[in-house]
Amino acid sequence: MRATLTTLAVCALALSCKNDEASSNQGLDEPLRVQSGQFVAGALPGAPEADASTVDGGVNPQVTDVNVANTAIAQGELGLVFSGHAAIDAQTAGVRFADLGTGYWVVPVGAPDPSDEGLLTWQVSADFGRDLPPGFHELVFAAIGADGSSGTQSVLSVCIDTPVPDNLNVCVPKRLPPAAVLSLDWDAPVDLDLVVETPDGKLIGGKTASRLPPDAGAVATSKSEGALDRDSNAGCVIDDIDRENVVWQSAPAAGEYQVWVDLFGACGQPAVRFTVTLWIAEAQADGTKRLVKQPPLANGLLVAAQANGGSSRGLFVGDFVLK
Amino acid sequence: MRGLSFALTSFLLLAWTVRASSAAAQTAKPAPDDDLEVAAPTSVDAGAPAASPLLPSSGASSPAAPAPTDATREVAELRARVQALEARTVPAPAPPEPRSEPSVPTTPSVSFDASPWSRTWARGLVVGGYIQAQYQSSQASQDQLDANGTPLNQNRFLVRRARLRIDRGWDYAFATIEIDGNNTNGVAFGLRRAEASLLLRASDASAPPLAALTAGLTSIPFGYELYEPNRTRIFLERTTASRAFFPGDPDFGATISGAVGFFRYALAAFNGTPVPDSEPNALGFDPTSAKDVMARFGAETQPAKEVGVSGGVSFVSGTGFHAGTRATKATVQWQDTNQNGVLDPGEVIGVPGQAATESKTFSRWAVGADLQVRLRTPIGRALVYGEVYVGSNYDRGLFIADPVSSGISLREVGWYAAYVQEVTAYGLVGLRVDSYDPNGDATTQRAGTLLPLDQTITTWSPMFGLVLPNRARLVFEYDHILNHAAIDPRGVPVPLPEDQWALRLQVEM
Repeated sequence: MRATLTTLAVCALALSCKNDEASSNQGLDEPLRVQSGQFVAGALPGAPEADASTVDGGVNPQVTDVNVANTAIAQGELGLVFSGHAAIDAQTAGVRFADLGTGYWVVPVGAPDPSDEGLLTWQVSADFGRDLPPGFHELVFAAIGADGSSGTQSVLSVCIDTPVPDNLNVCVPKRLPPAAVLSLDWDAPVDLDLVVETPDGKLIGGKTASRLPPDAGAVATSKSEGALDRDSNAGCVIDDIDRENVVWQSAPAAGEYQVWVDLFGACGQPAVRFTVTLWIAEAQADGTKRLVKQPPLANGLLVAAQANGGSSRGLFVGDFVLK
Repeated sequence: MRGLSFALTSFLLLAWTVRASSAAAQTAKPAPDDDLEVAAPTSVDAGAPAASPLLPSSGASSPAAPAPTDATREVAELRARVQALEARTVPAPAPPEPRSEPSVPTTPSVSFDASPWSRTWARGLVVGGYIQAQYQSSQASQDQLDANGTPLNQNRFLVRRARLRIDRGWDYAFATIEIDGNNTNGVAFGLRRAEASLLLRASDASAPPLAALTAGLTSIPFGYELYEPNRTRIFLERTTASRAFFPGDPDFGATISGAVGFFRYALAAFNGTPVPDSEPNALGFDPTSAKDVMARFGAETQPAKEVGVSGGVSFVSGTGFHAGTRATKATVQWQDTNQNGVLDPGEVIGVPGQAATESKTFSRWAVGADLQVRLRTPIGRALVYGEVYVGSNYDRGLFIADPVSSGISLREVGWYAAYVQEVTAYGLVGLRVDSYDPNGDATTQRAGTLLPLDQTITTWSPMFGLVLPNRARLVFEYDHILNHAAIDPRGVPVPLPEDQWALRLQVEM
């Protein structure tokens, strides 16, 4: 009797183990993350759009259209909404970067849209990684049917912006980038400030920060004057951007620029590592200009005891000369 | 009311089944107390040799004598009886105890012998405890943080429980205090039990009391698994359903319990906010004035020489709490409508302040039935047991039920069946299967169509262990968890991999 029970239990356990399981990878380290979506490792089902171009209207089930408010995407952008329709035989909609990541995300399709021939609606709210390579990338969408089949994929080209303000030059080369950008980034949620003294003795940053929206163009009194784009984590109100930039929209005054990094407040963190980098607009072979990252001006470490509440310029990290 | 009817009907059926063997129930083995380190009475051992005869056999030990008269024969018999009585009353000298081996508590550290409902209450001061240290691993573990900043890593060393307990027993009173430390969810150190009891002891010192009134932070008298001591439970943790219904083992309240013959009873009123030992910030504060009222009626018997049966039915009825919201002030909010990351005209809106919303209460109930069968097999003792739970709005730990928010009452069903077997006195094997459906009416939407959704979580838990009787136990348990928390590319619910295993070393103090 006992042997029989044991045998039955083992058999039942073995059968239960045969159930299909989702991937144990939850996709938290993927370049694209979909809120309330299911991550599936591997290639997105369906036929590439190029291969299906010869088929009139594509093959179902397929995503018929994709809508998004903005195809220029900042690194680390949160909750960008993509929506659209899928063929009526779809059960889920899937999405992934064509050239990034290790898998795709699926979400169930929603109710039919009576205003669009009863096509099924879908929507994904996407978060993007903070280390995405700037430039154009393709987001690929596919619809998946109840039997696992998938038709023609849809492709949406999006532009990943640079981590420093470039006037969207990376996506639209015809737009001129700033002449120079000095960027400070760090690795902990602290209130760290970038302070620059120009050749004429003017101080930029720190307590005198002016704030510019990214890629908003120069609003300083003169385009050759540098302006600080933001005060990240100001007063320990953590925004997790952890980056500040001094932007010169046109050629800055020639001379020596001195740079300090000031730990205004440690915000409960024991230490922070930082990097100061200069980006210079350089002419390209096609006649356009592009911001090019120079070797780091400084790398360093500040500990909590060095927080000064803005009582000084902080740690002097180096200087550079612009001609 | 429905729960009470079910409980009483089940109890009457159970009582009828054990009536024929009620006489034997008086010898049902006492249980080890929950984490109690007191000397337990000698267990009834079906295989033990018969007791020594009261009178020694005549002849061999009697001196040779001439034909005895009636008087001398009577004297000889009386002398023999006196000698026999003296031999029984004079204790044999105790063997010296080596210093390296302190006295071993006679209370077993595994609950093969009897159910916790036959707890005995010792007299005197007793100090004890135990430590459960383990290494655990989970498929769901990731070197990431969740949205609240809590680490998702589950592959770690852990002190699951480190308990220190002091009991003081008197003739008519009993006091217990127990503290616990663990690092399940961050280091937590706090009160696990604080009981003040009045007792009406049975005439048999080895029997549980006829009645015990206990007040304070104490065990919740519902079913078997919840009431079973963490110390003696062979599987590492309670089942999913039990943890959903009762996120903590103890609660603040008062209980009247006891044993009359084979009959076991407990009536209780509790705050209804069980206190988890794994939550550093668990306060056990009751937001409602209504108390959870519960009862368990059970029986324990020994229908055959090598078989013991126990079981009972339980019910609880209480009041849940839906927290209201505080008033809010008017704020300004930026909605990045075109999602370009820039503050554009028309994207700043005013959000007016909101009045506070009132809190609400709702009714909840649960019923349960449990059954345990103890066997003595050629390789050791065995325990086959199981339990069934049915509840309404009673999930307080996993898929927390709130019919005020959901608009409908949630129906929960859970069950488990388990088998554990001693392999000699030094080995253990076992298998437990448990299942929990947190919402029998769950639905999901696919392509605009509402479909039923099965949220059942089924866990298969094979285990094996090594035992140093009454001192230490090393147990390996693997939990194969089948849930419906993920979907495949077609949108069909599939298990989200979250199997886990743990290797636990438990040592008594």
